[in-house]
Amino acid sequence: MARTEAFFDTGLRADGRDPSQLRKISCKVGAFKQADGSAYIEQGKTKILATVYGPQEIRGGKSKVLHDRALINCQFSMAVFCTSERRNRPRGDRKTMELNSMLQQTYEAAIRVELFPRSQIDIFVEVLQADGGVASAAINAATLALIDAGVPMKDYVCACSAAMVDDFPFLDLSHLEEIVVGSMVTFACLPRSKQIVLSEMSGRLHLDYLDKVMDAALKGCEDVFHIMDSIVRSQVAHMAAAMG
Amino acid sequence: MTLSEGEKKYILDSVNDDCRIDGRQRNNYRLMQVETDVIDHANGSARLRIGETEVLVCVKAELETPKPETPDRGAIQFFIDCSANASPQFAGRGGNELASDIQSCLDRAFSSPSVLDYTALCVERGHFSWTLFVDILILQCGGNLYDAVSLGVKAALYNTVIAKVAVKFLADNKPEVEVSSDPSKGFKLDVTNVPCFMTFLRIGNHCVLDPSLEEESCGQGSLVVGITVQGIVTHVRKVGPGSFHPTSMEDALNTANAIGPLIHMQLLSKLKEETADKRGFLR
Amino acid sequence: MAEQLKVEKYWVLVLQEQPSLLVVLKVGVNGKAKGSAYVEAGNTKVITAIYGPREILRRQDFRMKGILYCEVKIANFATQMRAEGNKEAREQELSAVLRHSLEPVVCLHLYPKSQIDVYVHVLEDDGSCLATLITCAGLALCDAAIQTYDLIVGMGLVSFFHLLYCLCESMLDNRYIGGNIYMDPTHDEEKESASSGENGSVIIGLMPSVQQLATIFQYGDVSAQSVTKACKELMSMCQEVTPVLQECLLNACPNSPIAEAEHDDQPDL
Repeated sequence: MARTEAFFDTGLRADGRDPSQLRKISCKVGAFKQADGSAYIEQGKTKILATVYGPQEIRGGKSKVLHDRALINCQFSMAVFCTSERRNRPRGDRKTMELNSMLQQTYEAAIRVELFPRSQIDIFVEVLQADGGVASAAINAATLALIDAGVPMKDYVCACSAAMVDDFPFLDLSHLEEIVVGSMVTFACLPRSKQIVLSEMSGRLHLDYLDKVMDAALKGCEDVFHIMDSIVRSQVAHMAAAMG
Repeated sequence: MTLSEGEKKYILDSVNDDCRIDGRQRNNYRLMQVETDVIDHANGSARLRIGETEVLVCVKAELETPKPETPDRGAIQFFIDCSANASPQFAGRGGNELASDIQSCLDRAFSSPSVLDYTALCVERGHFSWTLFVDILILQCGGNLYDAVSLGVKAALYNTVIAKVAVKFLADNKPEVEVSSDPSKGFKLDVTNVPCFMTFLRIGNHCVLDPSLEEESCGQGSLVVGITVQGIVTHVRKVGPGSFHPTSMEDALNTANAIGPLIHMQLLSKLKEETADKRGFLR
Repeated sequence: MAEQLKVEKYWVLVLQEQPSLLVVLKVGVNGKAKGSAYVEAGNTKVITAIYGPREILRRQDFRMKGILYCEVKIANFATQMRAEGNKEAREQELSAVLRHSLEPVVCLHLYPKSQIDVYVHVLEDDGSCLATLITCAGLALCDAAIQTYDLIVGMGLVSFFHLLYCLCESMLDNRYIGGNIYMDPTHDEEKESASSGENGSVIIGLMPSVQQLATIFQYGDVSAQSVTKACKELMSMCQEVTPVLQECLLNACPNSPIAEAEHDDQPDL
């Protein structure tokens, strides 16, 4: 019925991909010059913009100052036109608040916060078009923006979404697939050390499937890492060449 | 942006000498870039950049019941979101005041019936009409937001295609909407009379057009003039903490009358010759 | 022309050509507020109260210039239809325009780390709402002894056809209806204008002594030359009306000889 629609007899998905194939990822690091760091990522039809301000002095009161580490402030906002049904408000609802706290927890673990006591690092993510895999694309975009800003991190943070359909793990689901399949997991990891910084699941998944899905998702994260790494290296080489 | 007294004096002198800090004259605009069709599932969208200011405008049309006092007209509704990407001050509710100022300016400028043919948006008198939701996202703030927003709105409305629908009345007189299955069947709006804002910032004794962020920090009041291609003024508003001498205001209005139609024609000609090579933000 | 009366501490203007139209001015109507004023122009009734300058409590809002906080509220019963139209949006717009109008007038650099609150209530809206409420706010500012660059004196025209001088508004509402100009229009005239040819509305805020426009607000479809012409006419009318408002404010002062001569114990309003 609905579940098998996602997986045709030919073994391909609705958009022609293999189950373990990611969508096309295009990025631009440093898309906006005004911010300290910025990145724009397109993962299939999902378009996300991330900017980073900082490390800088804490805004808004001395009460939030942490004496031994930096404060990470995230704001996740989805433009009112990002989904096919127009949203009422860009942020402040449950979904964006949840993704906000997810971003915060992820980067608290990944950024070397102990290097910047009494400071603040702002990470702002804006979703321009949402077509599935919003959380993972947001994390990927924010990682690139942090690298562009020169904020020291333990490693890249790469994220990928996965789901189990008829014994096959699907990677990087589009919006249509997310609705059809029902249950989805998102994993974010530090690829070199294979440590997981974020794991989030919606719907219900049988325990027997968990290992398979997790392995598939982490493999997907590794693929994302290779893509992001090559983009960053080519960008840096470009800058070095320009500087002579 | 905070400027030192020396920097403010420098800007003031540069404006007096008619050679601003980036080399422009008082009546020159910065380089503008426009690109339409940036958002896939919108009826129309445009990305506009003036200097460092960048806005993304998206138009979505939805079928709604028209207001009882205007049963044969559609409507247009604006929503502006100052993204935190543009400035950390806009995080949370920081950008709400600026957004509501620009929003009310747009509402006023578009309130006169000659701006858009609202009757073309009517599908079935008294039952269904199109409401255009124009959502503006401010991505980068480099001065002169009013102009960027209004030009972006014009470009997005030019790009807007609204599906052709038919209304059938069922047995019990209930109306039912039929959407044509051919996605290419749609109609475009006539945006010739859509106004654009021109911001005149008063620095010292002169008014400058298209102020940059530094100039805005040291200027006093601004005059926002909404003018159409035929030179009809649809909205004038003074914003900011300064006042205007009547002769400055008259000069500003005359300049708007002279330059406004040129900007319109430039924008429309660029939109017409836009090619299919759309790269959006990846450019 | 017009006959000035002083009726129980109100300045009332009875216009000979149109005796049914009353313009009422009164300052100091609200005992609790630092300054207050009440203005009636025809059927439009506006009351303003000013509180401050008071300290800004939050440290992050500290700045060397004072802040003006303006809030305009339109009563639900003020319009012809109860809670007509998009009331909230209109209130927000009026508040923003009022703030932009008063900012050039008040000497904010003399009130660091302070806030001046201006609360305006529109009790009845029969056209010329913006003009009347800016005048009212201006009068209240003077009553509150807030330092300003110019004494915002008010004057207004009721109707261009009758060339009446109504001595109460600092903002003049000038409306074109198909080539005719209606000064200070009523609600019906505003509606009629919205449906005709070249039509529009121009409202200015003038600081008469320094000859500066504190604000200009125009909407509708008018040519640029018409806007300039309208402003010039409005400004000349403003100048003629200035002295009466000044007198009204002077007489509200407790030590003025006229006030002392008519000392009475009647309660305000």
